[in-house]
Amino acid sequence: MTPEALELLFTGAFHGLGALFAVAFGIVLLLLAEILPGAAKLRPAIFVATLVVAFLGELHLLDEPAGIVLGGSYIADASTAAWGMVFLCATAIAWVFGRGYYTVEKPFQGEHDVLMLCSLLGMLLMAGSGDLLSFFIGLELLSVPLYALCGFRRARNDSVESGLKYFLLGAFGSALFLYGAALVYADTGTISLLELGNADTSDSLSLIGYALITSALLFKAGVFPFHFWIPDVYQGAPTPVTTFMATGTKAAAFAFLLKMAFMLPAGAVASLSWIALITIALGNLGALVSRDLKRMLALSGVAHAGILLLAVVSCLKTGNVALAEEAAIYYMAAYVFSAGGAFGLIALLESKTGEPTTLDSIKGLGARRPGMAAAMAVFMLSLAGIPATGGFLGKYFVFSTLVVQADMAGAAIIAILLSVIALGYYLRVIIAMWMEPADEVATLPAEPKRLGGAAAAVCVAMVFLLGVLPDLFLGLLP
Amino acid sequence: MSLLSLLIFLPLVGALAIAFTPSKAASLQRGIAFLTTVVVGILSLTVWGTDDLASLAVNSAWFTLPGSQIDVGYRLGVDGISLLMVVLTGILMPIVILSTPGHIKERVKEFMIWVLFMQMGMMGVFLATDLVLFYFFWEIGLVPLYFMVGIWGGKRRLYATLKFFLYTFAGSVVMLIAAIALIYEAQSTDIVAITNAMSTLGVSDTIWLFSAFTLAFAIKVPVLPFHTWLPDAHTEAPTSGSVILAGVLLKMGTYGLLRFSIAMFPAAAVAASPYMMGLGAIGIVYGAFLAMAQTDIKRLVACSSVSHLGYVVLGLFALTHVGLAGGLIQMVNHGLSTGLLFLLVGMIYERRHTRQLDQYGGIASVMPIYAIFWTIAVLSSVGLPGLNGFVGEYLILLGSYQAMPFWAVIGVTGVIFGAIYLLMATRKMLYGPVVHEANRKLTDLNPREIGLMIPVVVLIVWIGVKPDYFMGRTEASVAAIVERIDQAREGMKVAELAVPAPAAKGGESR
Amino acid sequence: MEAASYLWWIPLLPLIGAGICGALHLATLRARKSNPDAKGPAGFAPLVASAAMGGALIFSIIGFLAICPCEDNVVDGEQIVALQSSTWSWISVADLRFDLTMWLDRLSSIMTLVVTGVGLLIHIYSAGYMKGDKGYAKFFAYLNLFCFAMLMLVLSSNLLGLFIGWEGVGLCSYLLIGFWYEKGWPAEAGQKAFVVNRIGDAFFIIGSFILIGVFGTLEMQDIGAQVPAMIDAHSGKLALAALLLFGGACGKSAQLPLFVWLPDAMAGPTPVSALIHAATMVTSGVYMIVRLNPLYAASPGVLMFIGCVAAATAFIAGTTALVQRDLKKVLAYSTVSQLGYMFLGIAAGAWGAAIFHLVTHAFFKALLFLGAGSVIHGMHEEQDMHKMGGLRKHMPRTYATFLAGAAALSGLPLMSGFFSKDEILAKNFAMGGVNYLFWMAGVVTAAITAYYTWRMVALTFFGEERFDAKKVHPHESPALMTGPLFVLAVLSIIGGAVLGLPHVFHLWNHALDVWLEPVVLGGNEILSAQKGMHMPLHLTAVREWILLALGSAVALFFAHKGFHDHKRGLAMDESVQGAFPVAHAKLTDAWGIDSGYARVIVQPVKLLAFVIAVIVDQFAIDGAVNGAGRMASDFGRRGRRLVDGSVSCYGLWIGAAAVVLALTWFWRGN
Repeated sequence: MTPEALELLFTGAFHGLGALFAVAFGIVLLLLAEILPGAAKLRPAIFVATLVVAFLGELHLLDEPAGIVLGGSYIADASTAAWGMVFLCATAIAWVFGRGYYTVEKPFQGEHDVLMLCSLLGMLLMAGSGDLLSFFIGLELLSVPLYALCGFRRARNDSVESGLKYFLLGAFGSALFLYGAALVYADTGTISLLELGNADTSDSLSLIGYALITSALLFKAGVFPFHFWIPDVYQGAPTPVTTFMATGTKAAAFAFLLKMAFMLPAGAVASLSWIALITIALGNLGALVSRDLKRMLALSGVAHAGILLLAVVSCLKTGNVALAEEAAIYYMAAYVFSAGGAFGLIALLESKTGEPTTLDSIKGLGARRPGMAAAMAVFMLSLAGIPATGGFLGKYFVFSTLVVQADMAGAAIIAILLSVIALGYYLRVIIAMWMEPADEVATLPAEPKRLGGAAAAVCVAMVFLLGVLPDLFLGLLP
Repeated sequence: MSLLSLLIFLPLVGALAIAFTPSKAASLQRGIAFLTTVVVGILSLTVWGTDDLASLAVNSAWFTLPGSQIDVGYRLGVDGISLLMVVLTGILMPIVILSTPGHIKERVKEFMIWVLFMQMGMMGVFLATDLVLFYFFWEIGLVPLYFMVGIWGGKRRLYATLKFFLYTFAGSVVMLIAAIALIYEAQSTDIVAITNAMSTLGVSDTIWLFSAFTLAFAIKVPVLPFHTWLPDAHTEAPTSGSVILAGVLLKMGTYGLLRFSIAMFPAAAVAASPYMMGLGAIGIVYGAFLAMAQTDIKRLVACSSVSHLGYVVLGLFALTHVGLAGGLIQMVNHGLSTGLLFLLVGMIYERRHTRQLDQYGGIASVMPIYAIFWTIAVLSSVGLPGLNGFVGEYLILLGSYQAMPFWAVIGVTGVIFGAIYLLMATRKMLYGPVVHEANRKLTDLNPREIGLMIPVVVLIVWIGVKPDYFMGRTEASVAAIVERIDQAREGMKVAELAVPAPAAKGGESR
Repeated sequence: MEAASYLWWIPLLPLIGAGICGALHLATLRARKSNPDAKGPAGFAPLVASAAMGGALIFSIIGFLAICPCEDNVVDGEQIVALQSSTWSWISVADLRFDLTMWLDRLSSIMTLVVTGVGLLIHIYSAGYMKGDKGYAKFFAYLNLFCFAMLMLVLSSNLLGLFIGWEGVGLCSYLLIGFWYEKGWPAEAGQKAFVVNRIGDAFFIIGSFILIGVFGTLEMQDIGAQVPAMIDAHSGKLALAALLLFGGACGKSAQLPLFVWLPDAMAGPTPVSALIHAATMVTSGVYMIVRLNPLYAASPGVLMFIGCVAAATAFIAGTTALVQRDLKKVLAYSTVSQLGYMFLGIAAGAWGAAIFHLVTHAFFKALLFLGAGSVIHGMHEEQDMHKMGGLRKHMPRTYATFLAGAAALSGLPLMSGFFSKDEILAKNFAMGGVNYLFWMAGVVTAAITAYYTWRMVALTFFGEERFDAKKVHPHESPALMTGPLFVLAVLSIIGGAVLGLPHVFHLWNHALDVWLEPVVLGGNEILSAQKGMHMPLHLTAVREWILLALGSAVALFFAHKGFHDHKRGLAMDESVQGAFPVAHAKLTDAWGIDSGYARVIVQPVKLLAFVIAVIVDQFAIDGAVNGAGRMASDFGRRGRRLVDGSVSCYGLWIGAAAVVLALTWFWRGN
């Protein structure tokens, strides 16, 4: 398409919908490539182009004034753009590391990519949605493809089980959301976030409604007690999909949580912060005792969701959305590259054997695949929040909002002490890779494809950039 | 690039250079590492040579904390307090590298990289004058040692290294929260600015910040009862790791106590001083008894560290001029004498492959040169007048006596117990008949080993004979801290007098 | 006072000598590497060491002459009584300064002469005694190092500078006691000596803190000058400081309760026992107190306490010496007892007398030890007197000199020991009050001393030969060793008369008292003020004569008895042992004090160490740490049991949670 066309997309009546359109267009192209003979080899190019164009769109949107389009059901502002970029990075990472992961399912790679783009589209819509309905559409658009993706390795029971579990519970979550939305509408007579913001929400109906909506979002974000499905589903799903879910879905859920946080009742502060702390505790403790790396990272993801929820809480308490959002986005960005990279490396490790990656199977990896092991170590340290990695600054910003703005030092200290437990299992991964000799039986993991290696390198670089030169990124944020 | 930045980042450059060498070229990697550390050492000496330390300071923008106007800066600086630590680091690191051929035989490349990372972290901690930057280096410093112990350590290395990392990390995250609050309170991350802002506040405003920082540093030092990670880490670490740990890393804790807990929150420090002095004094005796019961020579030296750092804590928290000066010089002394002891333990271990005291005996007759160095190290750490240890110990005890005679007297008993366990170890190692055949054909120290210990011995004697030369550089900074403390004391007096009833009592007690 | 920086050379020359000897030792070791029985350059060590001592002696004599009361030492009508060297600024913090200055006044000049003089003789002697030892050069390095420390101790004008020497001599004593460490027990004896001394040093350190608190300096001259002004304000603190410093002296000078290390110290080579554990180091406590005499004069209670400790020590050690079989052990306990004597002098405020006895004791005890060494040397390292006897014909020169020493020690009339002991007793007598008791203790001890001294002589040199003549061939020692013996013998005989002839003889007045006048002036004035009597005290001629007569009588009688009882052989010893086995055993073990310590102190300390290391540290503290870790993983496993992995269960949680959330908010909302 020509630059003019792009320009048209990014401005005017459809101001800020550029990314959405780009992705939608990409989906169509991919589907065409599916059916058109000989176009199959174009698929990767199309996918990448889609992401690039969408990214450019978001980048362009950053320094545009906020716009309310589609009759208020979509709000395109800088934060939407920032979130969008996070989703796009997540998708890119998941996709790149996924290349060469599938063996039996190789012929269906096309479907896989299409589904991924669909749910990316859902994410973008969620992040920008201006009313409950558009959000719900986004939610479904995100979820339904994921159900399919989780069960994508249809030959394997664990994959199918994961897909089914996710589907059933996801349906439950959507139902909760719909019911909540209905109650809110019944009470206030509107579904537009802006109007809801001004409407009086102290009435019991909307209180319950919001509670149900929040529950649905917490379910997607994987927060206690809505998180129990996470380990099973993440473990069973194909690793690239896990990567995608762990980073993208979580981000999307929090994007909207932050958007609607200011509507939640003041009473929510206490309950949400307790939920957050319990989440961190359960996530870390669970991860501490799991030897399967995917499960461990899944549960560590739960813990990180807890910390993000604390950001939401401080936003809710202070009403200062911008600051909390900034912290949350930075945290999420760091998480996308660290956890995404980590899951991605697991995907690479599994790609040959298909065996699950455990603390035992990665013993002595440092000696055999120093590059991969080093990258993994960096990701672990970043997830643990050691300085000079993005993880540290993300943690710093979130806790800074919590301590300084929300004046909740107590919760901060509990949370950060719980994160010491997390260090325990992150370090165990490094110990296994670098400090323990390899088992004789362990098969040598595949030499990473050039693409995968490059992706890992990029993730490492980003982790360090986020950790050392925050101004590069803080400048982008609202 | 400024001198101080070079001190921090030259090691990084060296590490990168090593990273690009072929993994088999061990001698090349050693060479690069040694060269780097020597250059850094020379640079640190030029810092020592600079009269106007303030002129070395670096201050450039780094990033702005979101949602505020607080600029986190890349701020470096050196004053009388950090000067000694920087030079100590600069001098010890080449020695550490030189000591590695004996015990680091495989994965040399990685090791050298980690050592240089370590040096970057340590230099950063001592040179950073920006709180966030300080915290950066503070935690980065944990990682290399974690690898050194975990990869090149002894049998229980994994347990030891995990324990060490978790223990210290727990402390520093609490400090992180305190730092966040502190930065917001002072609306700055410049340590000097924060100190100026904080040191005027009263106890009630600062006690929590003080406690959080002190906890983190106390774990690092380590102060009783947070010390149990140290013997494990020391015992399992490779010789060079132990030397770094004892020589410099632990000083990060005492340095922090002085730079933050005391200088930033003098009022709170005054309030806490009796308890901290108590912990220090008890630590002296406790550590000594701990050492007495050890059968593993390396563990014994490790426990002696607990005792010696008890002196430092006692002296610092006496909050008297003499005590502070003594504590400061004692940081260096402990680095030298305990570092030397660990080097010697390592050298005998490389020959005999056991650390059990009862496996030795009569070493003096087979390794006379070794015996000489061992004796010097022991005498230095029992505080023999004329060697460095005495200066520190005497000033510390004198300073704490001026503050609280009781704890000083408890501390003085350490002079006795210290002699007991160190001489006991010396006797079992060096003296008596050679009972084990394996000890008969031990070879005495080679020129490399002698050479690398000479500088340490020279410093040990030099500090002992002319401490003025070293303490002169620190005097001004110490005096400044003392001034803050006195002001804080004045403030507290005023506060007390404001309240009628206890004022009378306060008057009498003073 | 006058600037004289050459004083620095007095301690530094031995230090340099030590360095050179150390180098020689290393060179010898290197030579041995190739060929185990190579001589190496060790042979030069005694020359170097003795030369260093000789140099030191010369400088001390120069210094001595410079403060002699004669015309050319009078500068504009002012008699020079002290020299001061340049100053080495050592430690200075805030307004505190600890500087090192060599201060040679009449007291320290006496000490330097003794140390360098006797030291030189012992160096020469050792050249013969240690010949063929594989640590030959090392030995002289240590010996020189010791002399350096000792001279620092006596010359430093600052108490902390004194402490450098104080600990330095302790170190050398540790090294020299354990010189033959291969045997094992010498090393243990050395360690014991160091640790016990450390106990004293701990007191010393605290004492110095108090002095700093009161005077703001440790310059001993300033302290002495300021004491009178401080008495009223700080009498308590002064007394406490004095007491604590005396605690230090108890360690160094082997007084109760810290004397236990000295007998064990005999494990060292005999010249070491002579130099360190008889002549010089062990007397440094006495020196320190006399140096600080105003401080002690200001606290009479402490003086009395010192007297009690000294009397008890003198008596207990003396009685223990009665039953020893080991020649050196006899001399060791005798030394402890004689040190007690010196402190008795201090208790009477008789500073001069204490120093007087210090000097004479240095002469005759060094002589006796060297003689004993010569005997042991001739007997092939045999120390048990019961395996000796009849040696006088085998080693006549040793025998002759030994007799002189014995005579002096037992205080036979006109011998050096006679006059010094008599003066101490006389001063106590003159002081009156509780000092009468000290006087009595002194007399009793004198009797005991005479007895065991001559028992020793008899057992060693008289009676039948109890050694196996086939294996052991006693022989006289070389001139290198006997030469010093004769010099010391002469000193032991005439030294007393020359230095301290009592006034009643009206021949020449008491040289040492007059000489020390300026040094002890401060102390005497304070004492005079307190007691209302004029110090130094003098007895009337009649009483003086009576005491002298009494002293002679006691000495002669018990000396004769001791000699007579034992010159036939072991009959007496065996009969005593047979008659009172238990008492005899206890006595031999110094009244069981040492073994008592082992039970009451050493064992508990070891136990406590074990308790702390294992129970407190590993079990309690570390147990808690590891327990936390284990708890975390337990919780982790429990956490899994919240769900059974079935969709329905998850769904239940979600639904329930949603309801709960809704209810809480609903309830909170209104």
